[in-house]
Amino acid sequence: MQTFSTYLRLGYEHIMSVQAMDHILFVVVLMAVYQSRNWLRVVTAVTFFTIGHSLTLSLGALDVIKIDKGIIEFLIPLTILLTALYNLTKSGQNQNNKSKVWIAGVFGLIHGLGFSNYYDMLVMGDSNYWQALLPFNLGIELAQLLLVAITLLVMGIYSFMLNRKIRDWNLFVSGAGFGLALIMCLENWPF
Amino acid sequence: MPQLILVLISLCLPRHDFHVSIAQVDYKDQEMQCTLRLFREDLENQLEKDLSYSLKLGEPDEHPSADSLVADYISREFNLKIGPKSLKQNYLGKEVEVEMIYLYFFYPCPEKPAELVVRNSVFFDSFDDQSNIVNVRIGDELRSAYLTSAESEKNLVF
Repeated sequence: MQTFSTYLRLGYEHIMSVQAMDHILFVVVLMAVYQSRNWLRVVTAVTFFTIGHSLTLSLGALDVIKIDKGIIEFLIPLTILLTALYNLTKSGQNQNNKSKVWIAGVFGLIHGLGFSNYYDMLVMGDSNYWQALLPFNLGIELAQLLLVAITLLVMGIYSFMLNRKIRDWNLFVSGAGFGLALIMCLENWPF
Repeated sequence: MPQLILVLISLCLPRHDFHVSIAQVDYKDQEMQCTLRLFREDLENQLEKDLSYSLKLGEPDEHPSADSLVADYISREFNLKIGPKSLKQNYLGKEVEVEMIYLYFFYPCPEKPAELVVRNSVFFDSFDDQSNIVNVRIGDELRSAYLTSAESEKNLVF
């Protein structure tokens, strides 16, 4: 097998594993306030998340930045917690509010540092950008794309077929996200 | 009851203890030269399963049998084959960092192979989700094997 496909698979499986539940949770919570007709805004927010985490994954992998693992493992659930809380505010529920996009981008920077810590475990010596880092990053995006599509579908079914308000969905997802993130924060308390 | 639920939830949450190893194999000077990086804790736990003492890998008071136990374990779990023929492993030594341990070994291999079977089943009997990556470079060609308990060996074609 080519190295490219190995690292593509590693990136994909990293998102689709229980260990990366925090990344999945963040994306689902980030999406929770949007009505299906505003799917383009969802795509914009997720794209900013991607830009953020791709940037720090690359900088971390290339050893430009190094931040303590313990801190990152604490900050990642904190991003979920804050996003879930923001989803309960009026401004957080405003579908036209651009702040969501910036939150996604900035929090993406933190998630990317988590990816780069994992990536460090997957390479040694001979790895290079084209054969390891790029496919690993692409694998992450592929999995995330699939995840976003599934979530949009579920949200669509919820609001159209079951005829429920997305507001209720938001309360359910943000509540669950808050609870899980709070436990993760306490478990990874670095101070 | 609420405490019990909290405990149950926290048991299901990710611990971020990743079970992954990486090996780099280079064909140089008629040898397959290997570096294998493992989590120190995992290797210690694995080797101490049948022991009544602790190995203290890399510490000043490391147990005298540590190196031979490591060498034995690696020769059992890590193999290179050309066709049906296993290459002979020679253990060189180890280097211990805080979290990680690097193992160095090589296989004499007079002819540059066109195909190589790699097997790395390190820790498969301890962790279901262990995955072992083996990157092999022969000349300018780089190939990669992603090994899991479902597929513990792979034929690489150069």
